[in-house]
Amino acid sequence: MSLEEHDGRELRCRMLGHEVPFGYCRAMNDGLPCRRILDCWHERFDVQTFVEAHFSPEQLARAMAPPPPKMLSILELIEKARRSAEADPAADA
Amino acid sequence: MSTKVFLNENEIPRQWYNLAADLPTPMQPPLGPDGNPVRPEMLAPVFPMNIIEQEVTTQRWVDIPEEVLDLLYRWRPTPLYRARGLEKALGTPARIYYKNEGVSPAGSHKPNTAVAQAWYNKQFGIKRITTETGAGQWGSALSFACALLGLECKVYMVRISFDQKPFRRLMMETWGGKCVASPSRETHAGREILAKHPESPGSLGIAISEAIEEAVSDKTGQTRYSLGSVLNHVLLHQTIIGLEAKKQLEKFGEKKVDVVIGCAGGGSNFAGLAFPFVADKIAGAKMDVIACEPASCPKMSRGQFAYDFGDVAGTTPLLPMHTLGHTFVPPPIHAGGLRYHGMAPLVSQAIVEGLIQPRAIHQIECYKSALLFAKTEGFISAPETSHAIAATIQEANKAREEGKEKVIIFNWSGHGLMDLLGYDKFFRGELEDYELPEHLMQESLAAIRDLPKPKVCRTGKW
Repeated sequence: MSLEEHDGRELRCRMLGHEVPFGYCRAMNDGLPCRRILDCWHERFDVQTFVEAHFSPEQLARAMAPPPPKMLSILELIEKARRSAEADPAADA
Repeated sequence: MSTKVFLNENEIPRQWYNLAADLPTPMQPPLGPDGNPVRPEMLAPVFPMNIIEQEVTTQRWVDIPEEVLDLLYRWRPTPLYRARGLEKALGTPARIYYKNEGVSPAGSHKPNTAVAQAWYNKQFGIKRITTETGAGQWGSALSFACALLGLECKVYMVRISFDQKPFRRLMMETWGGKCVASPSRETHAGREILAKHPESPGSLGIAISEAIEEAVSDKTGQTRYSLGSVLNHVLLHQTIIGLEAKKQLEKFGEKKVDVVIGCAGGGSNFAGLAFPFVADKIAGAKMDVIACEPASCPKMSRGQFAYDFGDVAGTTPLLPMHTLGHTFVPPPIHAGGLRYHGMAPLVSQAIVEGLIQPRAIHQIECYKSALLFAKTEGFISAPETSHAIAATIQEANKAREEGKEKVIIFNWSGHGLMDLLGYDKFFRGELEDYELPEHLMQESLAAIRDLPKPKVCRTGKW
């Protein structure tokens, strides 16, 4: 089973609001699958066997961990942005 | 015999409705990384304080500023239609109404909150607003709102969407918004991703990171970030839809509503129509309130792959991997008490309470419904909106079978003129549905039977 085997398949991504190829879903998360890949694709083909064949359990655990509530994720991004600005102040100029 | 009812501008609702004031089980305050409730000042780098106040308010009614009304008058009040053509085609005794939110300049309900948010930002002295967008519905709505108020608008558009959906990008630019493909070289977050993956197609997560970073790192303090769904203040601004609709139903001579329907992505268009009716339900009215979503990737109507224990425990899920290595099928029944990922907390809690019923609908049924709607009512619907149409048709057929004269209202949240590719695939027979075999469903349920059940907070009244 090659990594690109299903890349041409398409469905409508409910997050983005348009059609995306499977190749996007398997790699959009910093090279890892989208956390919703199983929810969205399980009706089309055996996506679970696919992801287990191509990603380690640790990678899948990282990719598919549920997101924090929106407010918490915003706070985390604020903190991350502050840290980036402190680490590289010149880049903001 | 009217087909549509307008309101005069002087009949527009002058307050938004806040469901948080009436929910029988009060919303828990959002928790920060330290497990303590989020304090307003923690959000101040990204939202102006007047919007933060709306985010946390438990006031039932919030005044709509006159200047916001003046902006909304450009397309509001929106018409409420009686779907006579659809009723006739279905042969139903039901009276079907739809609120046409596609008449806004951006073509959807999104400007209702975009305009309000832009105004509050301007009042707070903000000159520039950043945001993220996928296909561009939200980005175009915010660009439009910023144009009205003379604010700069910077939209980080997910790269794959930027490349595939040029028309909404052009709409943003027409309204003066600056639209950049994300990941970009304009932020640390974007550069970090590009260093690792130069061809990255982007994601909403990256685009949000970039938009927030730009707001936080503006040393002048004149940039803030804006979000188009999920948060309480966004839902609050959208309730003008349902409040108008209630007045218009009265003008149609309707005394009660039996079914309220909307499609739910992040929850804002659904909540906009439904929450003012949910208030009636809490007060004792009998009605069904239905939130529709795609069956292929449900958030609400079936269990999610990943259970969210993060509400209390922070970011560490207890059981992130419970189905990997076993037969995975998303379970069909949500156990209750869960936070539906990406869904507005207010909508989630109303589902848990039983005030709202989620319903998953297959895409082919949605497209067939949208086609029937287009042929009988004329309007071409956004793919998301087609879920609400499909549920409406289901309910109208049910009314016919039961021989009941039900009153059904749904939110026609936007037109589909930018989304005709999906229709093309439907016409070509390239779409398919899949029914989950019963034995797989049972195996899935068996796999999660012994897992800890999340805490359920509901009164049990509905």
